[in-house]
This record gives sequence, C-alpha cells and structure tokens, in this order.
Amino acid sequence: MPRPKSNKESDRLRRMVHQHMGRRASLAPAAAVAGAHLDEDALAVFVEGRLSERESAPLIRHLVACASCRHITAQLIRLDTELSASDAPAPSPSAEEPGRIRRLLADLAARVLPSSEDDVVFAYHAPADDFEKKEEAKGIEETADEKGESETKEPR
Amino acid sequence: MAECAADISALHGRCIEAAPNYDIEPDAFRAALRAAVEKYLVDPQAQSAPTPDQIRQFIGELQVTDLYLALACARGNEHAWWEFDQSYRRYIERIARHLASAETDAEEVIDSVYVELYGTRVVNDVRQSKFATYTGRGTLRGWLRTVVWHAVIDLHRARRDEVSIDDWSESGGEVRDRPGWRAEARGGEGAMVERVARERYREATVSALDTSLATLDDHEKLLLLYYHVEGLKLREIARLVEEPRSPLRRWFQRQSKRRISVPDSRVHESTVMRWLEKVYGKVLERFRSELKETSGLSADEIELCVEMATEDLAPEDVRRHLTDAPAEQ
Repeated sequence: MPRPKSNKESDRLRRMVHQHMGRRASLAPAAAVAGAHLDEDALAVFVEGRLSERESAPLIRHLVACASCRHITAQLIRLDTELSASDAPAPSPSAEEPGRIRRLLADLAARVLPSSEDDVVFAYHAPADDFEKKEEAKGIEETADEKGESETKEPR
Repeated sequence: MAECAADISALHGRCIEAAPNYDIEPDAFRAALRAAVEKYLVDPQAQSAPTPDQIRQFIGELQVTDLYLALACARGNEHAWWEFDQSYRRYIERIARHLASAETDAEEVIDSVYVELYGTRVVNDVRQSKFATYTGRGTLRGWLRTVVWHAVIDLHRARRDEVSIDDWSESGGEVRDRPGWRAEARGGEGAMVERVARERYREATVSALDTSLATLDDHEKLLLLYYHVEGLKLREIARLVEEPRSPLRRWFQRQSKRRISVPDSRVHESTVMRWLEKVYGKVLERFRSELKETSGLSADEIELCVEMATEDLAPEDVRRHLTDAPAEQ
C-alpha cells in the first residue's frame, strides 16, 4: 500500500480527508443507523477495549454509522484521559456512620414510583438481622483504631 | 450454554464464597450470564452461533465479582449496597465533580446516579434498577463512568428548555445554513465556462473521495472519524487502544508486520499516526484511480482535483466564490 511521498503531500492529504469528513457526519448509509443506540454497558465496554473481534464487529459498524454514539464514546475517551492525567490518591473515607446505608436505601425506596396507588412495591432485600451490629462494630473499630489512616478499598 | 453449566456453577460458587450474604440464586446468576452472552456473542449478522469454547472463554473473561455485586445491588441487598458504596462512591463523586459545570451541581448528579442505580420505576412488581443493565463484560468502574456521564448530560438538558440551535449544530446535529449566500449566476461567458468546468471537477472529486472512503474497512473508518470528525488527539486514540486486547489495536497490528512480534507493547502517538498515514495512503491511491478510471481525468486534472479537495468543497462555498467574482454590470 502506498504511503504519501512527502510531508507536504501527507499534509495535503490529511487536509483533504479532514475537509471531506468534516462534511460527512458518517461514513455509512443512513439505513445502517437504524435500530437502537448503544447502551451504557456497550459504550463502556467498547471504550475499555475488552471485546473480542467477533463481539466488537457490530459495535464498530454501529459507531461508524451513528454519529451520536460515536460522539459519546469520544467524550468518554476524553474523560478517561483527563481522569487518568489528574489521578490523585483518593482521600481516605470518613469512618462509616452506622446505619447510613440502611437510611440511604430507605430514602431511595421512598422515591420508588408504584405502577398504581394500590400496587406499592418495595422490592429491596430485607436487611439481615446481624447487619447493623456488624456495621456498628466496624464503625467503632475504624473510628478508634484507624482514624486518619488511608483505607480506601480498591474496587474489585 | 448448557455445555458450560459446570463452568457457570464453579463461578457462582466462587462468588458465594467471596460474598456469602448477597443471596443470588444459581438461576438468577445463570440468567445474567446468558443475557451477557446473548448481548455480545450472538451477532444477528454473523453466520454462525458461538461455540461452547467461545462461550467458555467469554464467561471466563467476565468481571464476575463486579457482576455479582451489581446483581445483588439490583435486588437492593444491603450488604451489597454497603460494599458498593464503600468501593465506588468516591469514584462517582470524582467523576461528577470533574464533569459538573456551573449549571449542573455535582451533588445533584451524585444523587441522580444513586436514584437511577436503585431504580424508581416498578414494572410488573419489579423495581427497574440500572444495575440490571450491567453485564459484567467491562468493569463496573467503566460502566459507572458512562452512567455518571449520561446523568450529567441529562441534567444539563433538563436545565434548558431546549437545546439551542447553535449547540445542536456544533454537535453535528445539522448543517448550518448560510443566510448570506446568493445563488444567482454572475460573470460573463468565460466565467460561466470556468464555472461549469469547476463544477464538473468538484463533483468528480467529491464522488471519488466518497468512493475511496467507503471502500475502507470499518476499523479504518472509525479511526478517521475519531481523528477528523470527533477531534480526538493522537494520545487520546492511543489511550483507547492501550488495552492489548482492544479490537481496534489488534486489527491495525495485524496489518503491520512490524508490530506483530511485540503485540503487547505500548501504543504510542507515533504508532497511531503511522496507522493514519497508511489509511491516507489507501485513500489517495483509490482517489486517483477513481478519478482516472471512472471520471476519465488526465494527470493534470487529477492534480487540480487534489487541490480542490484540500479546499472546502461544499457547494455553498463554491457558489460563494462565484458570488465574490465581479458582477456583470
């Protein structure tokens, strides 16, 4: 395959492609965009580059055709680059306040919109009896022994 | 999937061992894995179904502990939520603060993300948690980054009654009209001949460029689109292909004899530039050949078309040039 002969030719070619593509939002026929946009899971997986070629083929096809999804992936790539550039050690979390998660879940559950007034459903798991005790014990331990010490847990 | 039952049971066993309080039954776990396989491994356009080995490999690559946590959170399990909050709240806060603008408050973003993760809609007696859409194919962290990004965009949109036309067209939504443009023909006979010839070359150039770009592989098209349309920098594209298994990276490495011996080495900006230059080379070759064979142009005319292609070829601009010519008195 021939490569541009000189820097001048290369620059000219780059400008040519740039000008042309600037006016073409997509390099695929509009019909190829038919169908749903990629969801968060697919967008995130593509940006992480974890798909096999078999899995990525339909996604790449979609991204070539769909300016909207491609734009989102480009934004996510930028975000990823910016976050990694400003990677700072995470501040140590404050001591866990006993019962905080239970209150958080209760607050979230209060926002659930039932499908009808007679059909109120709270579909979250009932808390284990021993949970609060364990949480309180952990809170006390952390406050007493590890105050100020970094204990950020790496996500699994 | 049936042939992978033992692998799935083993994975489930490992998850239970790591998180015994999450209460995810084998059926629910299996259903989640099946959904992931169907989403990513079954391509309706592919001729063949995935083999048991492919499914086994796919399942083995899943972020299964993240998936197990997400499944338990989707059900509202307190232990799982506690773990999730400990492990990811700071990350969510960090992204939200990074993305939040004057119009979108970071705290509001965080609250909105938590509400969405928990789910506020109930359909057929089941709360619709956002966690249920996570498949485990990528990391939970990467998925959350996308969820937070979407939440910021949604809040930003909600703050405005409607997106302004300027913003919309800047994002590629529509081509701007040029109100100053006037299409009346101007100039004398010579100018008219020049105009006709120029229009002929313009059409041939646009058509040849369209054809040469259309013949590229999707991987090459996407690379060009990221660089020229989305404006990603070389280092940002290099980051996208940082993961050695990245399909874009593997595709371009396969085209290059030089990199095959060191497939896991780091991709530098210069590598991405090299990939781009190879694509430009293909485009140029096809462009010239199209002009010569399809449009029957001479070498000089082809050079003229290359010159034209580096200018703005939009009809509006050609016409604008014409309207700039001295008008016939």
